Amino acid sequence: MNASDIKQLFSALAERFEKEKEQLGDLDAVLGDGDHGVSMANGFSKANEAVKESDVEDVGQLFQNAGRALMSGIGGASGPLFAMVLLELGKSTSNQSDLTLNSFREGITNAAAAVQRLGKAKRGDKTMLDVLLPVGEALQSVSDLEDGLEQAAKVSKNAAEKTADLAAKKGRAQYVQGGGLGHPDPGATSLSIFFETFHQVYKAKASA
Amino acid sequence: MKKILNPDSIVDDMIDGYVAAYGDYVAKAKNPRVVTRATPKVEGKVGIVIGNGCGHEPIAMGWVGQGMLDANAVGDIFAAPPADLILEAIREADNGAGVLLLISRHAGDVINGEMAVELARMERLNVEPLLMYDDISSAPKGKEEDRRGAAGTTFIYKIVGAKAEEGATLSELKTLGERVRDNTRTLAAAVAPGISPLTGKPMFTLPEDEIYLGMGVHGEPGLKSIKMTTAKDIVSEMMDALLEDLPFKSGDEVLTFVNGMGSTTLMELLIIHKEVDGILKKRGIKAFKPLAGEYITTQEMAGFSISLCRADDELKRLWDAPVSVPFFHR
Repeated sequence: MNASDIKQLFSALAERFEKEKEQLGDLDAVLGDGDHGVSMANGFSKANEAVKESDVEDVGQLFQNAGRALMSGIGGASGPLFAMVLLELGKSTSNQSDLTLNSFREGITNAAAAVQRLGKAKRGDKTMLDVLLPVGEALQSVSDLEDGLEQAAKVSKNAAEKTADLAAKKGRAQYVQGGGLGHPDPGATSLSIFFETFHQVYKAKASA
Repeated sequence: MKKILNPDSIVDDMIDGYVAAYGDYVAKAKNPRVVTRATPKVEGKVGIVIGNGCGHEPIAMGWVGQGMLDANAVGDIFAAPPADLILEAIREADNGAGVLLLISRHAGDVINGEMAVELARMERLNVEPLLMYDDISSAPKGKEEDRRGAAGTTFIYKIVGAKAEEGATLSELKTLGERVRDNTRTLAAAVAPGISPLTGKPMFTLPEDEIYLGMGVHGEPGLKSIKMTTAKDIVSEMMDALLEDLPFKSGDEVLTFVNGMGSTTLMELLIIHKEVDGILKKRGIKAFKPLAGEYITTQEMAGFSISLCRADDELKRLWDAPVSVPFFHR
């Protein structure tokens, strides 16, 4: 995926999160204060604004710019944590004109470490980390970027759904009776939407 | 939802209105999401800063001014401000003596606050974070540092703010703030939800005849729900839990704060305070200059919290020291 494909990715993400706004908000109303959908839509809209007119060819620079816009744009806990995913992808793809499997894998692995450090969450705490860690692991045994993005989409969807079986240990959800058991984590769900959209944009490009 | 606002510019409009109304106290900084004092900076005074999601007015921007905060980074509704915005507030408040960044312990506030401290230190600013937590319903005794920040943080704003005016150093202020925090306990009860101006929806649901014990400042559900009852009964149950937690003992002196969460009437808050006062007297604990009113709100949420801070002579003096901000009156 080159710079133009990455710009396409952010346009698709902005569109998708706008569409999912209500549903993510309702999910968050059970576990938090119900604004996760609005935050994500707003953040990815700002990320898209930051890159759509850009003429840089460097994929890493685009991810960095999008990550910074998302970080300044939404705040809260999900702002900086989602921004870390983009910023780490930005670092691992820095000075590259094409996204490769290696740099994607490195970015996601480093993002998991950064999110863990900042959010102080562990696996099983019912956070986006419960998606990020299994995706990072699945990427260790894939052969090419296409396979990697497909696995990321599949594994993340599954992992996000499985957060419903976990009791929250972090964020506002931990104070909900039973830790929100039975409801998937909104941040984990958003991250699976991110990977799903990533894969869709790749497929659309491949078949074009 | 029936809220009078312009949906696309809620936070900016609110800040503009605040600065227009109270321009003799507060001003907008270069970044319009940072509220600072209108008065010239005092050379050599440590700056006191907090970043917080809005929707809880009058805190925190209502407490910018002489004797409390120097600058406030105003985030979106119920969302902590991003680190770079908190950094701007730190820069505004820095006057050569360093900055104490207050962080009310909630996930977003801690992440963005700690990032802001890292960014500020990269600029060689002298900044220290002070984590504030007091809500006994959010983690058990012995795990105090896992608790979330609630209305008892008020004691820190006021006492540390007063001490900063006297010229205390950054490390003295941090130690003082920790001492206030470690002697403070809060417990809240919710009666009805507030409506988020973002989603237009109630932030939680609660049956008509029930109240929640231990509700957080964003409407996070708490310990348990109980059947609606009298002020005497609910306050008695809450005070038992609070007094036992520190524990507060006979002979102690305490600062007390009954906070309303948005639509609890002053009539109710005063009745609650009467019950608090009666229980303290019965236990041989003396209340010093109590505070009651709506200060840390969650839109039109109905409910209240009780905060107690065990105070020595220094804390009492600073609690009672002069303060001149738009929305703190005692």
